[in-house]
Amino acid sequence: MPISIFDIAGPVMVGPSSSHTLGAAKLGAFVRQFSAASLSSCQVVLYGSFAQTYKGHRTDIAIVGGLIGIPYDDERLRNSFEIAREMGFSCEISASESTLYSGNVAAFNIATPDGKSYSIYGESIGGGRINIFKINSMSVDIDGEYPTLITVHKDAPGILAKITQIIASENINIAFLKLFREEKHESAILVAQTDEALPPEAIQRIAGFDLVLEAMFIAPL
Amino acid sequence: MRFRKASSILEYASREGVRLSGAMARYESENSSMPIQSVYLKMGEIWAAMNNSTSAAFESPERIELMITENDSLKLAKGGRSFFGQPYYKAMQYALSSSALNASMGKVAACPTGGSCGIVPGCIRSAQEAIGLDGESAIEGLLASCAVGLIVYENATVSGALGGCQAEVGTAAAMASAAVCEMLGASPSVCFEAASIALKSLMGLICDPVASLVESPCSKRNATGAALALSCAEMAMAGITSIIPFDEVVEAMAAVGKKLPEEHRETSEGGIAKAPTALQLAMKALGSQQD
Ligand code: SF4
Repeated sequence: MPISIFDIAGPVMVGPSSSHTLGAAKLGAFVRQFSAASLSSCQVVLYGSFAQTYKGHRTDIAIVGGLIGIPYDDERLRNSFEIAREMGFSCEISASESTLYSGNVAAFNIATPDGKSYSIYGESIGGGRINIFKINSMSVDIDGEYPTLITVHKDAPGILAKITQIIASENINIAFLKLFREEKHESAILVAQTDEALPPEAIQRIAGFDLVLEAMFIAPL
Repeated sequence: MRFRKASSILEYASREGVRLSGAMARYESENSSMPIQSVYLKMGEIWAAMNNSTSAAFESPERIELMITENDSLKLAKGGRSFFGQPYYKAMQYALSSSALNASMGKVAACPTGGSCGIVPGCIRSAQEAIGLDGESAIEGLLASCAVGLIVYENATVSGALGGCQAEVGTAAAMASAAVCEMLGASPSVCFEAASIALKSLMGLICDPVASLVESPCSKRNATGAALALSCAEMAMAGITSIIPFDEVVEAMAAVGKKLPEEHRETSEGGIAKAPTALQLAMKALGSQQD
């Protein structure tokens, strides 16, 4: 895709680093939306260059800011630790010595309100752009640049058609559609990036399908 | 619409009879399906954020919270006397302000990155004041600077972690010199001549932030990068050309970036970050977590 000039002069953000601060805040914001903003705690493990430089680049502050919903161009971000404390949000951040990942990688361990736990792995890939590359043991590929529907469902025939039909019935165009699965008939993840946001009722209808374990909507980061 | 080379942008601009800013506005408009007018408006918003950042450090010094450097923009503002020319002095003062605000987790516009965010706004604002131009000229300058940044994005990198500081401060200085030429009414090719001279001047610059903070050497490189950009614009406006075309300079810069060892790519494991005093500062600022 051609690069937007607003990624060259811009984006407007809270410093100091587009990859270590802005990208980190976006990763936090993704996880917040993934959990439908219901988290009261989160455990984060930093890898690679995040693990080496997070204090200087304020990566930890930015991640917490994203997790508690502070926009990445809002200067309150720098006080995210205090604001989180006031909100009763607890976050434990540690740096891993593992050499598994060399980029700017963070792993978020969360539990959703209905008791499911998730490990979400994301990387800040430069210029404030991110890539979510693993959810639990499943490899995925989510950039958060479009309104995005994510479903976790049982891998079974017909489920994809049912979901896309609901999107179509809302008269919403799908820009990109990706499917990921562990093994045949195990759980699978669908990622649909759409041109416009799906209304909450549509998400609820999708979540109500038998084979769908969870459906969430992520607004562009 | 996609431009991978400066030569294609130059061809397009001459065929369509548009300036560099006009070519970039059309590029964005076509790719984002945004009307041209909206591209200008949106760039105006970016400029507003940039412009604010250029004076924050000396107008609202309470917003500045630095770990190892000082509010140097405030020192220049208080000094107020230039030995070698007001526009140079002001460009440095503004660049230092944006850079300090960035390091303080303040609101800035990356250009092309956070670490190098002072250079383009510092030069544009100083040029505006020196020549007596209006707000629209800043937007045109910014649009023109994006042509330079775009070719670096397409063929090399603007990330210090991937290509060293030449990718950040080098690109920003090249962008700023093109912006200033555009504001002075230069043709697209003159803008790229200035950018070539700037990028060549900073070729090979390593990324070596002390204590992994985006403060030193970053902030002063914003000031000197801005002064260098103005020098390159002066030369290009006088008809001096780079004997190596911009596309080849970018190719060379990409090759150099790939050859830089990891120590010199934002890891704080080499360069000035390893000086004994730097290590002491790191210890003091961040405790034992960093070595
Ligand atoms: S030294 Fe590194 S962190 Fe500092 S401005 Fe240059 S590239 Fe950015």
